[in-house]
Amino acid sequence: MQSKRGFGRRKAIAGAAAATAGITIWSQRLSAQSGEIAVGAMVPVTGPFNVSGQQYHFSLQMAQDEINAKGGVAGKKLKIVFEDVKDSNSVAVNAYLKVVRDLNPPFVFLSSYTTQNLATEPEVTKAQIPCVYAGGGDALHLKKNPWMFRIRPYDGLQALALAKHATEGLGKKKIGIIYVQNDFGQPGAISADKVVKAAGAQVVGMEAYAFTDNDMSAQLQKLKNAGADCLICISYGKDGALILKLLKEMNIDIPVVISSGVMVPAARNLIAPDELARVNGVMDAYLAAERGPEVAAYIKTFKDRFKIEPDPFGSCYYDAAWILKQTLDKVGPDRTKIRDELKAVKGFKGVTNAFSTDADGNMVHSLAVFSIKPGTRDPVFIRTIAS
Amino acid sequence: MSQQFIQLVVSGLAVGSVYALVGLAFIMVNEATGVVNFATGQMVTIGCFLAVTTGLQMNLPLAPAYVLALAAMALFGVAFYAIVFRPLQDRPVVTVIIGTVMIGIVIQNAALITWGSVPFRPRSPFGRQVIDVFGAALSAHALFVIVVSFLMIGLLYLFIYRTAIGARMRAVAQDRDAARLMGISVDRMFVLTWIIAGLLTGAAGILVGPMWFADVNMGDPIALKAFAAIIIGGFSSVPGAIVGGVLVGLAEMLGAAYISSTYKDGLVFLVMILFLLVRPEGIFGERIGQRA
Repeated sequence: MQSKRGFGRRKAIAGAAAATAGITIWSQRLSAQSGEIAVGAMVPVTGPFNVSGQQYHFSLQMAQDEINAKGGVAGKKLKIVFEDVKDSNSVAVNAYLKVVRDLNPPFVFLSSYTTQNLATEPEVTKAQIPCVYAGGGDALHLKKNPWMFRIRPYDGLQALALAKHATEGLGKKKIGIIYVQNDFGQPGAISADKVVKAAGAQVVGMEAYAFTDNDMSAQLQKLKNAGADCLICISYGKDGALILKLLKEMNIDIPVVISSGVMVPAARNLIAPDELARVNGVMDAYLAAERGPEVAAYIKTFKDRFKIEPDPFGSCYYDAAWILKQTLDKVGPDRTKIRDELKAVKGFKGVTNAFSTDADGNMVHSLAVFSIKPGTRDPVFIRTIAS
Repeated sequence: MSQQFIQLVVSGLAVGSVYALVGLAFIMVNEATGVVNFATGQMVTIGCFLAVTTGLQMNLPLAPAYVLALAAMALFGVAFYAIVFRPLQDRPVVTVIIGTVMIGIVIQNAALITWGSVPFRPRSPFGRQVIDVFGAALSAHALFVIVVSFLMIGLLYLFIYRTAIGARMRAVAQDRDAARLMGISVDRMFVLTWIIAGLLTGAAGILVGPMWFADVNMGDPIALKAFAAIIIGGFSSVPGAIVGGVLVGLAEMLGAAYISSTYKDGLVFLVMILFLLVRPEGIFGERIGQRA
């Protein structure tokens, strides 16, 4: 009796699971065939990357609705099918394969993290589906994959901007570099080291920390003892905020030039104004209302809808969606034609940047440098550094 | 003694005492139930975020905010027992362990849905006060973490080894069936164990929040280091958790400062592997055979 009931329950669960999976696949395939153009989006909705993933998700949701309100793409509705890629390369690859299998899309928005995109890159080559991505790692554009296009500044450019601003902008001669030890921080630190030395300044120390570390006081102390008169900090949001907090606690009072992850609103809000007093930072874009009515409207709509400020990391996907609309309107859902159109993008003005594709598939070629208005968390634009 | 060394030792002790608290939560559950609770890190996260809710979002004064958060963590421990452990307790150990892994994922995603992906900066009872000790700038909160952690560990030690309930818990840990035959309510002892685990992880979460910020992914790295700490200290030993936690915390800080920041985590886990190879019972732990 018991085993019968157990068997029945198992069957019911299995049936429900199969039905759910079937409905999901059926509905996605149906949507791809019925008056809609469905494209995939690989978004880190959960896991440690979800702060930027949420911005990416929201930006594309907003773009999709606005594009459809203006007639859609190539006369059809645009449907963006989101897949959660968490913080795992294997999940990212499987998500990509799932989208390719279920949707057979003409275009995919890839993850905003380089390692995931590096893992997915061979599948992109096999599938021959054009895609855009926001991960900054130089390793990706060096592969020169003709199907992949980057919609934010590459990390080498960020390292160049950090080092240039520390040496030429602030005139510092003894630079300490602290960096997150991964594919973002390590190459960035090496690039920054070269630029600092080329500028005639000295790198007095380079210290690493793990992405999951919560206390970098030992590294900061070493850099202070080495005589650093300025720190270059290559980090993400929360870890960068922790470094600035620790510097204040440890009475290390030297200027810091920090990477873009810390300059986004979510990270800046973690930092007290006095901890930001000597901070300069780079950002992918100068995303401020004074840049023009389109940018102002974007910021207002985003804030009204999602109750948070947009940041440049996610907003570049909004721009990419509009580039996609322009492309689909022109050539329809033909993958090769879309790829060729993306290769030829020149001077597309988005809310984050102007986009022009180079031979490596990079579409953005400049960064903005900011200081912080004293006593606040508000960035003040200083200058743009181009590649 | 240089200022740098003092700063590093205090930071290492603060970090290490948190690892010790979390390590004790591992040990309590493992000793009583024979299960390694792989949702321990997520319980730290929940403790931290409950304090975010009471202390930041409800804006209560910190003392009642902490008490409320801890009370909620005690209830969380009961719920964990009732929903996860009890239905699975007669299944093979592997099933229960996988159950704790799964529930850890559920808890983490529930935290993400509840509190969102953007980190919070919880308040400290000492604000951002820094104390000067022989020229070294020490965070008052780091000192507070050390004091509170060791106070809690001391109280737990007294509870386990100096009270009748503690003796019953130890009896259940040594031989569940014999304890039942002696008239001890094993289920009650299990509930109590999960409450203590909830309180320890909750306290750890509350203490680390102002130091490291609160984010929904904070628990796993802490639990991983705490796990290394109890391997080194001894998986069944309260003093082992303390010594292991402090050793790991100090090794992290001093290793990063004097050996290599690049390989500091590698050093910790290398020490753990060496212990597993050479002295698997840890510094204070007893061999499984000796427990009978």
